Amino acid sequence: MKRVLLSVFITLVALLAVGWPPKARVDRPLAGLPLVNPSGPMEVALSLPFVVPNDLRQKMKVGGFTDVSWTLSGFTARSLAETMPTKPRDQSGRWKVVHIADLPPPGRDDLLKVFVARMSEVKPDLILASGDLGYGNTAADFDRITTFFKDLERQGALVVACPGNHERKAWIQYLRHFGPDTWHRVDFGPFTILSLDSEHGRDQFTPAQFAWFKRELANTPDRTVLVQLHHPVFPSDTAARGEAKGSGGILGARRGEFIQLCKDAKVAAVLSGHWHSDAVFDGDGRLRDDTWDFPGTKFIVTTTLGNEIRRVTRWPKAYFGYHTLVFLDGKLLSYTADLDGDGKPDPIASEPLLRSRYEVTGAFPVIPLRPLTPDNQRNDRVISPQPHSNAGGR
Amino acid sequence: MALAWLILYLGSWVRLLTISGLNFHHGAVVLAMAPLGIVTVQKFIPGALHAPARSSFRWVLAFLTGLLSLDFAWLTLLRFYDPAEWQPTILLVLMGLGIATFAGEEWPSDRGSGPWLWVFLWMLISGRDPVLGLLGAGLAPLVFHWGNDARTVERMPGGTRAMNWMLPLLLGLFLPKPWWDWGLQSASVLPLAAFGVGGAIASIRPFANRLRLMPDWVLISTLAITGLLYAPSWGLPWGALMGLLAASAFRRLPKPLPIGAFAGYWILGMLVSFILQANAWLPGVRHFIWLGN
Repeated sequence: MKRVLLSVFITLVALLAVGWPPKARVDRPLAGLPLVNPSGPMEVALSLPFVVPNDLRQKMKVGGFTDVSWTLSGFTARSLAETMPTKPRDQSGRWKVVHIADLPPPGRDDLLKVFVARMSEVKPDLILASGDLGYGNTAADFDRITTFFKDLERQGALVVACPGNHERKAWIQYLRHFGPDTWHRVDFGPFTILSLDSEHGRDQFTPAQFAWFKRELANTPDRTVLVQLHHPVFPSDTAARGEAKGSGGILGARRGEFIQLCKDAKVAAVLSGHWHSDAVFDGDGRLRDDTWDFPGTKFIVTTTLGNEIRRVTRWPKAYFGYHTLVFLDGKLLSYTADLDGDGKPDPIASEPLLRSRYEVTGAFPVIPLRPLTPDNQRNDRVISPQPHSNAGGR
Repeated sequence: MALAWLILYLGSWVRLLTISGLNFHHGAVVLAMAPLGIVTVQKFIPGALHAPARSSFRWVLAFLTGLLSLDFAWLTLLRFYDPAEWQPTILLVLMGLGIATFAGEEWPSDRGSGPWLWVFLWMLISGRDPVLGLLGAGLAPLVFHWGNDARTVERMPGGTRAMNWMLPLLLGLFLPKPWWDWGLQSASVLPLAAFGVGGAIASIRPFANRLRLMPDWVLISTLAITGLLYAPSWGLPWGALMGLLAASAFRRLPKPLPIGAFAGYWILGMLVSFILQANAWLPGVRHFIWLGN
């Protein structure tokens, strides 16, 4: 009995000593989760159970976070004030969702600035960033990306991010900047965004994450569901060209079940990156370079926003870009660009980030926008060699 | 003490390293691998300190180990431990040295459900932050050394030789599955807390007597099959059953435990487990730990 009392006493004293002075780590809202406009709960981890530091107490008061539910690790608070927009920024009632992936590496801040400027014109409601967020390994590299996200959120767009394989190379920095919730749900306007962690090496979900995904997907009545994960879901397969074998990594396991779940739940779009190349697949895994308009879930792979450009499928156009998805009354109106200017969206094509070869100057290469022919090989890229080629992975 | 060393210290250490990734460009990360060296030379450590004349030194050592673990946890709590940072890494290694000197000993307080409940308590607490598992390991010498001295070490021949390496290897292979599965979510530690409860139940005499009737090979096979059948929704009963079987297996081991070899197999099992779950370019083999994937 004495030993039990001693154990309990030492445990309590130790926990008090370790937790004092009271500290808190806000895990949500956070950059990429999103930061500026709290999308609901505030999640906080505390060094001492039930003891909230004064500065956080003040922040909660200002933000109207009053509905608190406690756990031994911390608490979750909800704001009684409605901070989430219920109407789109566009007066016509259209919601705009921009999708980016494989962001420019350190030293390519000019491209980030171009994107921020472009977003001030596009005025999206939501920006989804599907992994490989910065390619850097240091705290400063991650600060650069959170600053970029904050710049976008100040313009009025929410940024929701998920990790890619390159984040695994500096996982502690990722956790410190983006929090421990590496898979998460954000409800915004008519959308439910399920962000997944397809993980490096494994390129798949853990059983716990997949169970969470199934549960959340089943709990989205009357909502427009968007799913983002870093790895593309379908292989380039018969549409493979160029570097398909070198960089065409896909979701490695549970793929069939994942696809079926998305189709059954009528997920509007499953958004991925990783290939540094545009592609759109239908629910049967066919590359849809014939039309942009087909029924069912769109499995969209977005090219890089500013890293090495690759070619993975037979789709011939390659440039830095982003996809813009436009929704009206819960329906996907368009998600590809009109490159030839005929007034109709082209299949697959993302919006080019740069409008001319002169838009980005200085030490970095210019990027002429011209189509690849099907016969082009990997050495005949439209982009000249870059000084910061950090791309890798499968 | 062996349980605290294996599960709370070495287990949490491997877990933290796998969370952070290993970038050997940092000197501190190389240092963070030092527990591997400690395990290698561990069989030489306790003997030098067993002499009763040194018991006062042992008290100081237990106290210092506790303080080091407090300092480590204070520095890293809520910050995600980065092995590239020198200060916490030095504390982590020194603390490991301290615990290792006690790890191979068997005290009267080690019998019964005490150590299993200690594992349960600190696994539960480590749901707040994985570094707290290491705090539980660092405090264990102080708690378990209380009222004992080194002369109470008992010597008993063990069961089958296969048990000495298969048990730690299988535990290393399967026990961290909830960690890999849930990542940093607090649910990741619940099956391991249940493991402690299962072990404590198995230490109660009626249960212990019944489990003793189970042949070694049946016990090890059941443990392996149970380990393979992990599913996130069955984490608690899975952990409790693993604990029940593991505790029964622990009672069949020789005393004092060959802690160096035992810890080596445990770490080897954990590393293989991590490599399999990370897929590490061995397609198909991961099914060995992720059934149905």
